[in-house]
Amino acid sequence: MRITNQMTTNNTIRYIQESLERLNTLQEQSSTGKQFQLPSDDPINASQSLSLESALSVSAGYQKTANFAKEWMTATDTSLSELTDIANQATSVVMSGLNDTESADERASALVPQLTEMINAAVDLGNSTYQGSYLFSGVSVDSPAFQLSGTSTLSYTGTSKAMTRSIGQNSSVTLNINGDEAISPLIQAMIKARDDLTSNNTTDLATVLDDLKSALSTLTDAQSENGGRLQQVENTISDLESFDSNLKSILSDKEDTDTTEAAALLENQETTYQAVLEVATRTLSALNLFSYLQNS
Amino acid sequence: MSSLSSGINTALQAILAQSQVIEVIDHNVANVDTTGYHRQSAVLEATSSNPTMSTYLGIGAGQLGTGVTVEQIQRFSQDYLDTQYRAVSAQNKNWDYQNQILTQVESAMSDTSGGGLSSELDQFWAAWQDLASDPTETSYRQEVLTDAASLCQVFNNDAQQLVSLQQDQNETIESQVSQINSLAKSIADLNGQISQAEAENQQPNDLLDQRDDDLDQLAELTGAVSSTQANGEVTVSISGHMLVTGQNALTLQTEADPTNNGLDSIVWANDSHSFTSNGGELGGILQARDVYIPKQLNAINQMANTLITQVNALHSSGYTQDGTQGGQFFSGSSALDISVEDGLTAEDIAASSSASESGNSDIATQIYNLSSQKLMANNTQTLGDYYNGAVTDLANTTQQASDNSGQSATVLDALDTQRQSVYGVSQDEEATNLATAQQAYQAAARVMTVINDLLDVVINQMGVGSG
Repeated sequence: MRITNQMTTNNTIRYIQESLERLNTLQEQSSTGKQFQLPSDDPINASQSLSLESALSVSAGYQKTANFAKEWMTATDTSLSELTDIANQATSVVMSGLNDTESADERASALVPQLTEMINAAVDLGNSTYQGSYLFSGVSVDSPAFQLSGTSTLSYTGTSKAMTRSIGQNSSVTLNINGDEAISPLIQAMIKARDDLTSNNTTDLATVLDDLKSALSTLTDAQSENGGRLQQVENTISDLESFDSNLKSILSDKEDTDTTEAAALLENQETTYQAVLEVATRTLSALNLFSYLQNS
Repeated sequence: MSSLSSGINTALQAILAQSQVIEVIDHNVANVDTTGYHRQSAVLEATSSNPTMSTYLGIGAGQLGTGVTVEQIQRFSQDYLDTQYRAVSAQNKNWDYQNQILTQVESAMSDTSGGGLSSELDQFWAAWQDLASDPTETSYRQEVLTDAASLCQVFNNDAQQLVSLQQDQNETIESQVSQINSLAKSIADLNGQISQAEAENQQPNDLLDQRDDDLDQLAELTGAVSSTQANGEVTVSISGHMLVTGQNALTLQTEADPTNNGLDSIVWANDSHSFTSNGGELGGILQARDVYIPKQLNAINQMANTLITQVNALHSSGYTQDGTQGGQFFSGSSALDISVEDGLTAEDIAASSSASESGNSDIATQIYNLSSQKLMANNTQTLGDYYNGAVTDLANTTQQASDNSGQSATVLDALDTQRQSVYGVSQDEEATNLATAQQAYQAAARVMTVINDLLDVVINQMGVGSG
């Protein structure tokens, strides 16, 4: 084939251009750490990485919700534990109230203040909050669950409707323990016990002991129900976490540059580019018959 | 009758012919880097010979040559290579322009390294998901507002960018149309000059170069094809419509098309028929402007519209923290004008499905659940999937355009090399030819000196009065 000067020039430019282009791609991949800059660099991986990013975002949202639920339930558990303690204390107070060794007045003056204090403590616990929301008010989290009007009338001001939260595509969890069902019996029983002690009605006081026992078992049931949910939420969190780390490693596989490989390729390409430049200098400048003929 | 003086003439012819050869070489060397220049070469021919008598016998001794002359200045070219080259260059430019514009569209949508519609949409859903976990948390409400606003912003930006990219193409189209018109005019003019020169039996080499260069450019622009007539003129047509016949050139003009958002359409000035071009730069631009960009624009418009309708329907059925019924969440109807309802505050967000249930986050959950509902493409795709599909579609189209552009460039390079091999100037070759011509010139001059010496002998040193 006849080789002309323009061919040599054009080819030289093309070789330099192609070499620079490869160098540029490798530089981009190394410095951004991503295998593709635009989706068209690798449509399949780009599309998958978009889906993976969305899945990660969804999973992060569920984790946030599940963690919120976990903390809510932990707070509920703490309150219920303390209420159980109070129930036990109240039971022993009532037991000593049924003990006949002391006079009625003595029993009333010693035990009634204790019970009053316990009642107040129990109402306070019933109105426990987590991040400003009342734990036992059902769905009306902005109003207290219990209200004590006068000394003996307890009213439940929450709702029986519970709050549910999604912690997965098809799984949801109920946050609340119904305060009216779980806590009211205890407080009612303690109020009754105090009133009986005040009025020295020992026959009735004996039945209160049964009330307290059943209130205690209601509390324990509520606590174990809450514990079961807590377990479910914790399992979900750990599932989501391992799902998350799987997704992240797949995502990284899809879009991240293998830095060692990229560095090696980059270095290789730099050498190639240098060689191309060197060849270009020679072909363009050195060889021309005119420069030889001149001297003859 | 041969004589010494005719010998001088022969030597002179040789000197003149070799001078012409050197001039042609000079022209070649001067144009070594000129685009479209076809190398020329002086074709030498022996001039007609005369019958000669033998000086001794007085009978015919055969014919004696009278020297050399330049028969023609030949121009090196190969028509079928030009035809192939132009066809491939039209394809190449077509893909090249599609690729360029598609890459701009892709960059405008910028969706790999975050900040794109996909990640904004994810964040928007995540904000509702957060709010669903705790509707009493004001920071979550604020987050919903902020993320919704930035989602709208990205919708607006993307749509705006696409629209302005589309309008940018209009300007290119206008300048290309005027370029086509001036090339057509130039070809028609050159046709006239060339047919005239050829009628006078002149080889209009440099005019042919100019016309070939014009035809190359026209093919790149529009995929125009040409054919040479017997009189040396070319006829040029684009997609079956004549552009240049003989010395007449038709013109194209642009006019705003009300059915296509006022974007330019191209029509033939003579018969108002609409111009179509599938090849060349112009074909690539039209394809990008009228097919690719509208497709993307339509995709994000539909997404925005669905989002507005669905979110608004749920939101207006809900209740705010203080128990008032929720209003519109988004306003607008397309990607270009979607925005968060004017004056909507964090307190106005209706997350609850029932008045006076502060812990109720059913509406927030339902809005979040929209993210996994198949609302798009006749209820077969979620919003996220649909957008992912649009991005992937764009990416595949871009990749295809880029691949085709690269492949056709390789073919084009090969064809150009072949063309160059036929008509390009090689300095080494010219140097060799120059050396040969120089030697021939010197030899002819030497012959002339010898004959001169011989005449000197005859005239000055022979016969009467000499010595």
